Amino acid sequence: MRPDRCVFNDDESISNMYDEMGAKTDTISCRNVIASAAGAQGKNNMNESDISRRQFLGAGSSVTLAKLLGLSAPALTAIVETAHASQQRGTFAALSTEDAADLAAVASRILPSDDTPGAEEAGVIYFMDAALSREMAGQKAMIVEGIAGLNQSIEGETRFADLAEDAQDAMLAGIEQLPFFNFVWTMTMFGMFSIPSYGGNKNYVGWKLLNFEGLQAAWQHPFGYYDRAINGEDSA
Amino acid sequence: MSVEQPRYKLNEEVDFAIVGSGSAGGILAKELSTAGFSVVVFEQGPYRKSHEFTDDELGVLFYGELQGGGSRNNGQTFRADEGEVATVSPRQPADYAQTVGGSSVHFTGNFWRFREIDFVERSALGEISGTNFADWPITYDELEPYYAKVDWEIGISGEPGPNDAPRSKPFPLPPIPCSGSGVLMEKGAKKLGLTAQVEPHAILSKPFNGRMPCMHCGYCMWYGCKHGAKSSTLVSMIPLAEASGNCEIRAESAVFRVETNSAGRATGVRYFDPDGNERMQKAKAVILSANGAETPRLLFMSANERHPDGLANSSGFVGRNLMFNAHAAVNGVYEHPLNDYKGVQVSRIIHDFYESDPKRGFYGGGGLDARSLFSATPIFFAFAGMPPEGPRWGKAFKDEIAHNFTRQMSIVASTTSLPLDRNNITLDPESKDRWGRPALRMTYRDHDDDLAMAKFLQDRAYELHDAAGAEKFWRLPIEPATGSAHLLGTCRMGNDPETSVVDASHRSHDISNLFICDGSSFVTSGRGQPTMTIMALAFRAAELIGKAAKANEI
Repeated sequence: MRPDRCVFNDDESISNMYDEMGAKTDTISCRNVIASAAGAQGKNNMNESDISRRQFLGAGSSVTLAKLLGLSAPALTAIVETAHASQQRGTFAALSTEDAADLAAVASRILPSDDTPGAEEAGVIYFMDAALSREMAGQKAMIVEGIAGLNQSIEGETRFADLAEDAQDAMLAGIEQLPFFNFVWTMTMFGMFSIPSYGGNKNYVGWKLLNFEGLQAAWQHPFGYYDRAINGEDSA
Repeated sequence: MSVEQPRYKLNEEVDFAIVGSGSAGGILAKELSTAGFSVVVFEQGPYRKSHEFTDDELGVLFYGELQGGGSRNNGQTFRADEGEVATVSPRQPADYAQTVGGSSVHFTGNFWRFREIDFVERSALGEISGTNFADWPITYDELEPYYAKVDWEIGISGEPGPNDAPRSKPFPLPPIPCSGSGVLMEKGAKKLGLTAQVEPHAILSKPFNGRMPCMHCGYCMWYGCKHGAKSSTLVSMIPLAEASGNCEIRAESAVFRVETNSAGRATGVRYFDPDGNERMQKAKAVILSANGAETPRLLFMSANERHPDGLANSSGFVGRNLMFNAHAAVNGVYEHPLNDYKGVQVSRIIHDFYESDPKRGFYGGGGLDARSLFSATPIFFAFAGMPPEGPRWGKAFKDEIAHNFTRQMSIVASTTSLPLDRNNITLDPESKDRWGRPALRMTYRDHDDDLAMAKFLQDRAYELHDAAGAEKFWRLPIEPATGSAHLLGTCRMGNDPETSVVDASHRSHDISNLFICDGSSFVTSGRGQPTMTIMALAFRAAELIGKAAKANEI
């Protein structure tokens, strides 16, 4: 047994994602600051009772990120490999092509493409698919059901991905407090901004969006506008 | 280092078994091994070297890469009051690194000395009803030579501030240059008549002792330093301990019991080796430096018929008086890019509110710092950096994170915490960690004065953003803490065996060859950056313990 590599398989609500941010902040011991930030953005308010008409989206089930968050190192390697293989083949490991298109469409409304790249250009869907094919396999059913739920509420054979952006936004606005949406939101941020080896943030488009040059291992002052007066002209 | 680590046999009675390789354990290991004692250091995490640390935000922040996989693997539980059933939360209450070098590897490197008042505040202010507020058994003057030793052996960059306690030696290294957040804090402070001073860092501004200086890559807080510029014990102390030829670092080895005999002495430690097998290492003396949460947990796990309430706990003070330092923050967005994701988190601080002031109507003191905080890395920023009323998805959200990321900074307040019986570490009756050991259970609710002080400083932070010209700035709500990386006070030092766990030389009152030195030794919390004091205590403890060992007085 290698205790350091065991995965603790508990079940936690997606809303605890934001608590998790608090935990990390504890390293600087501002956990309460972060928890407050999450709370202030309304992201903790996941226990709404009037969800019956949205049951199809999985609001009543225990949605979990725990397995993803508790991933062991070998599992991470596996995700990375899956993501790369999927991208090269242009196929998906966990999702059907149709479901992947719908899920990608949700991600694209969360971080749309306009004059700058969004979730689509970052390949967020490949991050999601890779994760759902491995350690988040337990969440795959919830995702598939969530997508099915979206499509069931659309008349005829039209799928979510086929809708106009305005119509997609209207649908998502109705479910933005639900675990399905929050789960996809979280995955979208991970896929947009994590290092590309996880399958998303292709060509660092997520980082470029923020003007974040996180790869450079060394910088010289001045760093920005306000320290030029004391640190000299920008040499970077 | 070409000297190979010794491999001590399990039944070979080594001079010292040290539990924990962090801020205190790493220093004790180096000091005692270079003094000629045989030492085995137990670290439950793996032995990573600097080049193995990553800038992988998902891995470090979300997967608990340096924290043994985080809450899921450790099973820690939390409750606010003793009447409640504690529950496992993904938010790990006691937040510390499991890796050789301990939390000195992933801490931010902010490095404040205590001042004279921190050691004698009870005498200065009098009793605070309902608390265990007390003086330390040592003074600043007694600890000062060891603060200087920390500066010069670990490698500290900075320059003295206007109200700092006296120092016997200058800083060994000049300050790290000021970042945009520091410039803006100076601007705000000047307008408000406050004094922004240089933040001291346990990060090298110049090459020092064969180590590289800071490259300003920005991955300090939560990350291991891939350049070895952060002055963790991993890079500053452990290599010297290994070079002594007297010190074995036993990584991936989780201690679950300190053994004692019928004569009331410690005989060694029981642990799980990397393959999960139970082992027992014999030792002439045991030193616990496992941190302010793990040390009391281990004392409780070591309970036996002779010590039914846990080892070294005749006072009942083991695990009690847990203190964190309270916090508050105000975020601000400025017109031009700061790019504060580059470089260290903090370059300027304000210590004008360090002392408690009766005019405020509550006890407390603290400091303010300007830092990148959320805007250091993108996932964290997307999750928590945005204003509360703003959009959280769609074009408007995307535009706002894209605009704000390089233009944002935070002013963070750190304050005192009062020592209370109700705030403590115990063993959880149900939850286990990944080794099957009883998980640690934390019970904590801030004292009203701690939160009042945090609020007071948050108001100053708000004024500072305004005075510095922020275009938009907002308070983060102040809520009771549910955990911390500052784990203090749970085996406090003192002269009275009835109200403390260790004496002024870190020897437990109850067991003469059991020593405890880490954040648990603190009597009061200080103002927010405890690591330097943990390290100074460790240098002092090592000297006293070494002397006692040489005189056969252990």
